[in-house]
Amino acid sequence: MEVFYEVPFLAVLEKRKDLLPENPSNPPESVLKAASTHLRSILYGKSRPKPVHPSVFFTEANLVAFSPSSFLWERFARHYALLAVPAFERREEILLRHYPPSEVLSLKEFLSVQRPFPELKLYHLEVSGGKVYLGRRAPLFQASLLYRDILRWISERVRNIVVSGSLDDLRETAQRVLAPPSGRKRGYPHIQRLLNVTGLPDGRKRVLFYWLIPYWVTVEGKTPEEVLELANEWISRQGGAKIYSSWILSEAENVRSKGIKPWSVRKVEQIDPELVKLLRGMGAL
Amino acid sequence: MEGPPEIEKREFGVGEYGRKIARRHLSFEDERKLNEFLRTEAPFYISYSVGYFKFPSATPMENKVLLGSDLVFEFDADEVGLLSERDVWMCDSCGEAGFGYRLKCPKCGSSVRIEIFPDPEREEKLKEMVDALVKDFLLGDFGFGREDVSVNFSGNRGYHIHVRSEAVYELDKSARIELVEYVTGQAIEPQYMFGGVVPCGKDTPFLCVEGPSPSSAGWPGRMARSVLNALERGDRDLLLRAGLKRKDVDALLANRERYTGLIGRGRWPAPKMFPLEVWANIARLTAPLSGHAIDTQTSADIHRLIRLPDTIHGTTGLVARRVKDLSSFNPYRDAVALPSKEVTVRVRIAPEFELGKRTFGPFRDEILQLPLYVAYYLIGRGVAEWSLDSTE
Ligand SMILES: [Zn+2]
Repeated sequence: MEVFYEVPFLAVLEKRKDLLPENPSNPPESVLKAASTHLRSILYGKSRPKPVHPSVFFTEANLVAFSPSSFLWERFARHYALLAVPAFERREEILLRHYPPSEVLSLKEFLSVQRPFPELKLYHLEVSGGKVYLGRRAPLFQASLLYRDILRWISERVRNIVVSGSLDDLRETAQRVLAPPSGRKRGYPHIQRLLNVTGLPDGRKRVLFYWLIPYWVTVEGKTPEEVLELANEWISRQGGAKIYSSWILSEAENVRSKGIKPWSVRKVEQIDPELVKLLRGMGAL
Repeated sequence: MEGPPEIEKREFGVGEYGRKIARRHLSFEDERKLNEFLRTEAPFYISYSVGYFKFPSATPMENKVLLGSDLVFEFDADEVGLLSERDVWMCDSCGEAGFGYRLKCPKCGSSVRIEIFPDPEREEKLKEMVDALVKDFLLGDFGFGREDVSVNFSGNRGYHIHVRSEAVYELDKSARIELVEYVTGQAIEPQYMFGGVVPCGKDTPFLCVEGPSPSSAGWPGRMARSVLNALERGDRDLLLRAGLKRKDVDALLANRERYTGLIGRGRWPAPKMFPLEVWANIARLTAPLSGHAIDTQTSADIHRLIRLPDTIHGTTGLVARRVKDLSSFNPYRDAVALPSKEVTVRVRIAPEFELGKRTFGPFRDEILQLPLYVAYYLIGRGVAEWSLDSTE
């Protein structure tokens, strides 16, 4: 059995508040209609599963989960999830769970959940007297709980899935599905994520070489000098040793003279699987 | 002899001279059985599991059924990077030896071993670190009770800090690693401690990054306080070591008041001016526990055995004491247990050192009459041997 899953990446979700109707507890008829049409087409048609809404997720194996984000999202997500219920044959195949937002946790509660987000390490948070203060990162923690439940849900039903390896897949899928719309830049969704990445420990030069410099030069038509400025800004967000300007300039020149396009992820994966693995691990691909 | 809490769920291991664990998978129903064993077998080393098992003597490991585990931080003087002129290096290839710290033998080029000797200054620093671990992190940030935490001298070069609490009992290895990473603070990644771009103030066109303020809890606050402290003291050396260029240090210190005012309110200069990594580096460099102070893997290992407090450490002859009052504790005075009857030993090399309220050394290639506890210590360090002239 093949299992598909779609999970929200909440940092991205937060940026898309525009998708919310004005009154989330009572969405307009037109929105509901569009959503259920979409849902039906996925359930009975052959198209690949997509989220009905960024907060509602389901699969051909009948999994529905919804975002445990801040209250607006939650209420909205709940509404859509309930809407999706009649479409399923067996009710027990639906994962409907409510995660009340909690901004303060005990150390033990916090440590007992595996968190796929690097910003949710204990040392990045305010910790005092055995309490962990999540603050604005509470939704990320709730997403971690959701991941845990989805993984459990899948592993209980599907024997041939290795659940321990799925966290990255979940996040990757989520990011792919929910990457911000990017107008003319469409066609290179992985590049958008690479542009936004921070704290890349290794492989910065190769990322520039395979993807960013060709993208800036060939797709965006930047001059080598502009590329240098963009590259330096990007490098400054990664940390690590300096990358020489002369290398960036000559590479940009090379790309311009040959009209090189950004490489596909698959192509890079064939020759440099380590890099792709590293970037996937960081959620940058 | 007092056994560890919940003795019936612990696995024990014993060692002989030169072999710390010769036999393991032992278990004792109660303290009386343990003491009986100690009297009849008098093992060189005795260790017990940090884990609690349903069947502590079962083999293999997975049949023991792990129920939970204490959290134990291990500190070693030679790992905390506190070098001393009193340490000794010995070349086992050519026999050359000397004082201080060396990587290679100057005579034959082989790797040398370093032997740590008592150094009051290092002892103080080590205790300061243990104190910081207990007060700042275990009691402060993690909120454990004083009764949950106990400090033991390891019997050799460092301390073991035990946490026994329901809050840590069931934590898995990755959670334990996270706690160790937390106390050393070396793994912090600055980009996750800052927020978005905000105006620096009400009437200024400049943009700042939102970040922690000195009153923030945990590492975010620790970072803010250490940066403020470095600026207020004008600590150029630290700022340079943290990765700032000389001209940036000048710029930062020339506008010190402005920057301390901003950071005091959780407003940090834009990363374009000073990379965020610099602030994290300052926090790492000024962390109360230096980078290698605590071994992550051993401290997170839920299956390991650890020296039973109040038993003799076979290598040093010192007792792995429970420490009641850290500030007045001196292992080289309070953990001496062997008799002071004089014996004859041939000493290859030893610095001046204090042991059991007396001062000895320096020695170099001498045959000496020394108290048994000193002779034993030197032999354990591998810098002396029993002399054939011994009158025993
Ligand atoms: Zn040598």
